Amino acid sequence: MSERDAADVELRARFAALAAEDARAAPRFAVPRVGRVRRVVSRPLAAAATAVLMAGAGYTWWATRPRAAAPYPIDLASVTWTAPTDFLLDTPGLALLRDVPSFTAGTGAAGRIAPALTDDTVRRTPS
Amino acid sequence: MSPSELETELTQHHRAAFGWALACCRWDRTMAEDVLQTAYLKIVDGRARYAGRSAFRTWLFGVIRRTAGEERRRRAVRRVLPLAGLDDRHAPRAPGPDPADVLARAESSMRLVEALRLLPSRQREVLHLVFYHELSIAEAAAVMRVSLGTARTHYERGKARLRTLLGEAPHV
Repeated sequence: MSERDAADVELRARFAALAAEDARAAPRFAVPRVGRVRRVVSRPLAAAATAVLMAGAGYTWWATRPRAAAPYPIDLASVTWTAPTDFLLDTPGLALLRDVPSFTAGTGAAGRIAPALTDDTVRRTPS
Repeated sequence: MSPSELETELTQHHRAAFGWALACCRWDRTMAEDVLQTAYLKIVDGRARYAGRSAFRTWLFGVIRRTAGEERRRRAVRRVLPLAGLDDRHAPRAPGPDPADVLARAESSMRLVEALRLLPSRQREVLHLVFYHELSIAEAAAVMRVSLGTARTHYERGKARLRTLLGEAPHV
């Protein structure tokens, strides 16, 4: 047997003596009865469950909260209103003021006013 | 596993489990008894379930080790909290062996316990599992939830340090 093995044997003997002492001093075996012990939910689980419940309650309140009545929808585009004093604005020549004159006759392709198409050879100063 | 089978297994491993709980609690007997009861309760009420992936004893030791870790953290928090001093049950005790324990143990065992207390927890655990409970290093690695290589390293270093400590430790 090597020196190393002998040292192991000595250690084993020491541990065996310790084990024998512990065995003598061991308390009597008793398994706690589950029925007598209140089962406690772990704290993180309880906190998570509470958070979920509170979130659910908050969402339920938000979804079912009493809301103010919606205002009556008015389509502004379809509304017409005539003031009682509108006739005062009907001045003479109002059509001229409201309408933009058009220069359709005599305009060129670019929209510029083109000179009258006249044969001006007669009026041209002879050179 | 049925409740009666569980109880039979626990009865069978009770003494070894108590020894392991003592080691996990650095030979604080009161804490070890609390840890053992809490671990048994976890097993009985189903919070810890044996899935049969390892030997029952390996699994049981793992449950005890985790429970002891939780208890240590709980006590550390209570020690830090300002109201912890009002609760006598968790008042910090003077470091060192329990006086009743000293009376009950033989001198050589006390020296061994004192030397083991000085080891880092991983080294202490692996040596306890291998020499005290006669588990293989692989089984000890499973209990400690470390790789086999890591367990082997802790085993070799711990054994060397324990030998040194036992050679140099003063007599109690």
